[in-house]
Amino acid sequence: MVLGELTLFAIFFTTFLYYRGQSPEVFEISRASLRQDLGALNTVLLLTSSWFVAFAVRKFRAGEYFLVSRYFVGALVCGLGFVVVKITEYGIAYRSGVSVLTDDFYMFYFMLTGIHLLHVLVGITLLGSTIVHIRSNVARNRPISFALVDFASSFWHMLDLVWIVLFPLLYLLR
Amino acid sequence: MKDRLFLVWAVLVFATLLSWWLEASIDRVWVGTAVLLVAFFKARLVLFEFMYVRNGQAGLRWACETWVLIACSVVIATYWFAGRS
Repeated sequence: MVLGELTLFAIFFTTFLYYRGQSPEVFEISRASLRQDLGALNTVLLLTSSWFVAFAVRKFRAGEYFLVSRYFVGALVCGLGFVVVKITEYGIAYRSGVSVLTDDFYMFYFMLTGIHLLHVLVGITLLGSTIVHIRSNVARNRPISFALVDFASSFWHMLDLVWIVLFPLLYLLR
Repeated sequence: MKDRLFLVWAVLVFATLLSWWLEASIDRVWVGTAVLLVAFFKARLVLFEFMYVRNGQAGLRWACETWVLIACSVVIATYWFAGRS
């Protein structure tokens, strides 16, 4: 599933680069108007969240279930931070009069980051559900679903993988 | 293992800051290519270290290696050649 989603995003990336090649001046002017610092901050937030998730899986395999939920909470907080920064960016764009109709760059910017943000919101819901599942089952001394932990962690890493390529494509490439 | 995960995270953050600095400092196609290569290197690190593909079966490792190689090649080729025809 992860490689399938990544392939879909890779097709989006290639399409973006193709259109970028057709009108490089327009894309460059709009790219330069983005806040690179906020894009870099969001990259660090997602990398840190993936780090927490990697720890959570390690702790799950060691049978330290309470620590699993703690690390997932760490990832969840980073994910919420990502959403706050992204909404701040959208607010800055809105106040400067930029929208999805401004030009092709911003059409791709809002479409790609919007689809990614929707995935992040699904990922946050998934992490939250996994935390609740782990805490309630640990409290009742019931087994914890590895399938749920595995799915939530793989989905979250997939979000990080997409953003790792999206950040240089949208914010950095001149 | 804890130290290895921390090291991987530190490399990923360093690579992010390096890409940001490079692109802000120099305007060249080869810098853009280097930034994309660094991005796919980071993606490979997340797959193999954070997702533990490194410890997985050979088939999974090869599938991930192949995906990274193909996606990286297609993205960089499009970056180079789009609009030049």
